[in-house]
Amino acid sequence: MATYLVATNVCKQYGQALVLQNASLTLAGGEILALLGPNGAGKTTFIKILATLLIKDQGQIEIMGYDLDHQADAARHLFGYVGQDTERSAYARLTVRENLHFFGALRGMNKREINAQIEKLATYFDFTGQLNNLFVQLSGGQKQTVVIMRALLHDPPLIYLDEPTKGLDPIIAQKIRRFLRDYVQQERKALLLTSHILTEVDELANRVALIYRGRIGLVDTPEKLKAAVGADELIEIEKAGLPPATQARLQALATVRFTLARSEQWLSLAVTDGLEGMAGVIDILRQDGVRVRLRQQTVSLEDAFIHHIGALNERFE
Amino acid sequence: MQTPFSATPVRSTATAQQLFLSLSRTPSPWQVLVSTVIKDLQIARRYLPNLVGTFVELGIRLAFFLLLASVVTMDGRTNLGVTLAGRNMFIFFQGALLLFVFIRATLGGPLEAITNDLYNGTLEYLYSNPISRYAYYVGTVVAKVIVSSVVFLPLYLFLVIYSQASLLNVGLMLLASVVVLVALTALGILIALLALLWRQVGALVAVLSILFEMLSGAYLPITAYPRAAQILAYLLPYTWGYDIIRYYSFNGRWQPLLPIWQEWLILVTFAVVFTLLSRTLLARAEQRAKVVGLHVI
Repeated sequence: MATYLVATNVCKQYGQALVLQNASLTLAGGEILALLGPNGAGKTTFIKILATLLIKDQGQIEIMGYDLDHQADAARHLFGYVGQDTERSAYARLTVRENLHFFGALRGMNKREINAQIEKLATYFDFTGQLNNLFVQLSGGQKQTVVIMRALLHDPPLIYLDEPTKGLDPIIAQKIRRFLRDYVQQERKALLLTSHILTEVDELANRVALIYRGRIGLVDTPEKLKAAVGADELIEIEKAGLPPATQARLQALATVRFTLARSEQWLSLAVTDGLEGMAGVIDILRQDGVRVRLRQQTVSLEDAFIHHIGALNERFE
Repeated sequence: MQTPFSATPVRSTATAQQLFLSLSRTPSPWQVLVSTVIKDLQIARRYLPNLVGTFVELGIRLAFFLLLASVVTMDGRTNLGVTLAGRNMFIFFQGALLLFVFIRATLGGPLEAITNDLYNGTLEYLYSNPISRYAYYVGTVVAKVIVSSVVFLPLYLFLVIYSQASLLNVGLMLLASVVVLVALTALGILIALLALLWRQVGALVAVLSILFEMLSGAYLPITAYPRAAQILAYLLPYTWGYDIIRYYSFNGRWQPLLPIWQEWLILVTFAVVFTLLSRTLLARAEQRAKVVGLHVI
């Protein structure tokens, strides 16, 4: 696979705050890479640097061989960018078509090219009926669709999406996800996205980069990140009515690898063997005469995220 | 398959630019300007109350000058050598009227563009595009000038006929106006740069507009001002614009501050210097805004 993006040891500081510290990643054609991290971890700063909206303090970035320090204008032809605030990211009193024509013209595209791209994208997104509506009249999901269409208008090989489905209803979010996945695969594009919706990342991303306090701590496939948690399943015991002594005994079970801070209401025990773990839990509850609700779950990307971020917190402390 | 740009990648190992197509090409500044004008005119058409407000304001301004010309006389140190009253007074205000219409467009246009793009959230997109931002800001001014001209030109033609200026002098007045517009557009971009760095500078523009208007002799000949105010006035392109326009609107009877060719030279120098300065500083301000963390972009 051709590498589209190479970022090496990128650093950024605002005043005394180190927002990015030696952040490195690569992105190849046909790949979707999700940049995950808690709020304030540096995801948006990183994407803005890649989109030439911010200037890094140190490090090197190449987009398809173009050095961002010296060839930013050339690199700008090669990516499409969607920022976070899409409710107000086009001209309210222009129609969707007029907006896209203006933005296409700023890409040096002629009318024929713009029209062809608008038709193609509107068909992809089933958006033909809305093209003549004013941007201000669109729903949040429709506005988001327009902004994604704008990012794809010049058919860039590289796409940056900062929380592309934030605030959207599940149906529209699913539609956008499906489109993005197919588009990247079929057209050999490369997509870098940030998201706090980890089911979305699990569904879309080929690889995940975990960023914490400005440092990229882990980069791997979602499957490997989940496997790296070191547990196959979670056994969850309702905390209400669970005596502390019983909780301590449960956590000390041989099959329990660790306790996951997943929710306030449930004690989440990560176990290597779900069946054996459940049997052990039930034994202890019986012995202590405790009657509480139980549930068993597989380790999700969200669990892996919480686990790895906890580990990164200790590492970067 | 097309090559969208000519720069050579730093690493020859990346062959992706040959394998993949981006339709993006660097648009010429002219393309950016024209697209921006079309966009702004489309928006102006849809904000009808604003458009009507602009026209009404121009009408009120015109009525004010007409009224002023009919009730005010100016004795003493006028450049005409005689008392300014009636018809002469009206011709005197003609220059002020000509430039006033465009002052708001030029001084406030780029700032309004940045403010609107901030509000619309389109600023980020513009700054991640390979375009001439200078052409974009000039485009916003041109759109405003076009809108203003719709009302202004017929009125101005009426005034020109009334003043009985020769055709050549009318042409030279318009030329002087264009040169002032160029200088003021560059000044407007300089002001917009402040917004790029500090965001809320609208009040500053309002103050500067009024100050420049007063100081540069829109309402009174600057020869009637104290010496210090006169020196300050010489530093403004408006002053020379007003003086040149008055020279031609009085068919050469108006005594200019300097020989008229020198005034032209000063005015053109202002336009060139301001343009070069604003182009350079725009690039620097953008660079700085991208380094310090952009309250804006």
